[in-house]
Amino acid sequence: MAEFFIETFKLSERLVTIFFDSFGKIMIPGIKVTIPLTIISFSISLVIAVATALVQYAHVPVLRHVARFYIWVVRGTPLLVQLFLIFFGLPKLGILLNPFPAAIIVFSLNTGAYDAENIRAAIESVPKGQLEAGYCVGMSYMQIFFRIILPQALRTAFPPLSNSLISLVKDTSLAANITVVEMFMATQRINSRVYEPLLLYAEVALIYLIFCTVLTKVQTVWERKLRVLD
Amino acid sequence: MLTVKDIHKSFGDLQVLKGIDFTVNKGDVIAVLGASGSGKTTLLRCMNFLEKADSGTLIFDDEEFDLSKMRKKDILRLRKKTAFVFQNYNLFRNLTALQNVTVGLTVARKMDKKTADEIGMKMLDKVGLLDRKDHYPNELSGGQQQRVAIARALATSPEVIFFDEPTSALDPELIGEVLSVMKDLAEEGMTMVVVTHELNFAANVAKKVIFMEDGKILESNTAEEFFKSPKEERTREFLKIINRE
Ligand SMILES: Nc1ncnc2c1ncn2[C@@H]1O[C@H](COP(=O)(O)OP(=O)(O)OP(=O)(O)O)[C@@H](O)[C@H]1O
Ligand SMILES: [Mg+2]
Repeated sequence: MAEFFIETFKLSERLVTIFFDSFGKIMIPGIKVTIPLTIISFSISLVIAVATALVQYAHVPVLRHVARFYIWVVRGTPLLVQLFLIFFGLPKLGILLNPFPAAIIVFSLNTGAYDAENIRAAIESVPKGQLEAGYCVGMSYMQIFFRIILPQALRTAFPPLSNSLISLVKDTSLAANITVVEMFMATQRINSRVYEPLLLYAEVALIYLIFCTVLTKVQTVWERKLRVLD
Repeated sequence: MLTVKDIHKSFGDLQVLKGIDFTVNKGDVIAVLGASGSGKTTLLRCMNFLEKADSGTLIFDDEEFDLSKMRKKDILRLRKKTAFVFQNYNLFRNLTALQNVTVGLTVARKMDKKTADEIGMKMLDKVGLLDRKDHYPNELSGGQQQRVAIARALATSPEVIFFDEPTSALDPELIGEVLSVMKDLAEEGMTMVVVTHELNFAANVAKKVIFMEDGKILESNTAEEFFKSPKEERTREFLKIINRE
């Protein structure tokens, strides 16, 4: 009986040690890779999304069809397949990308397609009178779009855009499949040495949960601030 | 200063404007009256190119334009000489009262912010809302929003201001404050074309009255003559109905 307790104690001591040893080892690629990957991809995705929404809203010939095609393809294919296509597929055409930039490209394009639809819906919800009033004070279409319509639309689109940012944080774990050493890949590597899958995968899940919880809190605070202006 | 000739406009099969001619001279205050659906709003919108007329001529400061084939450049240039006050204000919702007034100066006319702010504050002061300059539209009453909209129209020193039923969306107790601002403008010699159902305003402030019926101008006269001895039977009926209301 006593032996059993000693064994259990030794076992849990080992687990606790592994947990704390690996916490930093998972956190560091989290801060150095997962977070930059998320922030860079999300920023680029916003630019893509605004451009894609604008060419549709302004009925720019040709480009608006390109925009629809892009959204159709990206939203209709799995993210993992897109990662493989760019990282393993493109070298066949002589385009060789490092894992990190390949991941940035795919995450930006993927998130951009979803954000474009959110922003487009938000732009369309801005009353037409805003555009007309802009014309009447002498502004051009582009001036009205960037000064009046887009700021209002981004406010409306804030909740769905925050959600897409939070999804992106989690989706970056897929980059492990194309050899980007982000948090999940780092966890897999530790596991292959110590073989504690239950502990380690629960641990990395916990860290994702912390990241997302922080973002959700930030979102709530900002939404409250924005609501004051409505 | 501004003349329109033979404006025609249809929405699909519906002929809304069936050949309208009239002239606005500097300092004119013209009230446009007429039953609902007679085409008053459409006329104003065509003159400001918010709606594209099917045919017609516009002469602005001796320059003549074919309304059916206006170039973007001309539209942009002519719009800078006019201003528009909407029935539902249409203040920019993401800008403060002061920014609403100055954006036409800083963005459209590339004026430096300091000069624009000075002008903006002067205009807000004129409509009695300087103390609300940092408020957003949703923090203002309807009457205040419409006064900011008038300040916005004034800021760019337009040659003419078009008003489309500026008080129709307002609660009765807020109408007075907007009309009194407009009366002051008229007295200062501002050129104004005002679509309105406020007969008192038309009678006391306007110099000329245009009565529209079914896409045409049925009667046009000085305000005094118009109300004293309306020529057309339809005009008399209209005045009777609206007076009873
Ligand atoms: N964008 C549009 N599409 C289709 N029909 C329109 C449009 N705008 C106006 N109309 C129609 O044109 C006619 C004239 O409209 P308009 O708004 O100019 O009238 P109005 O004299 O301003 O009336 P009110 O006093 O009610 O404002 C109406 O029958 C209206 O239904
Ligand atoms: Mg109208």
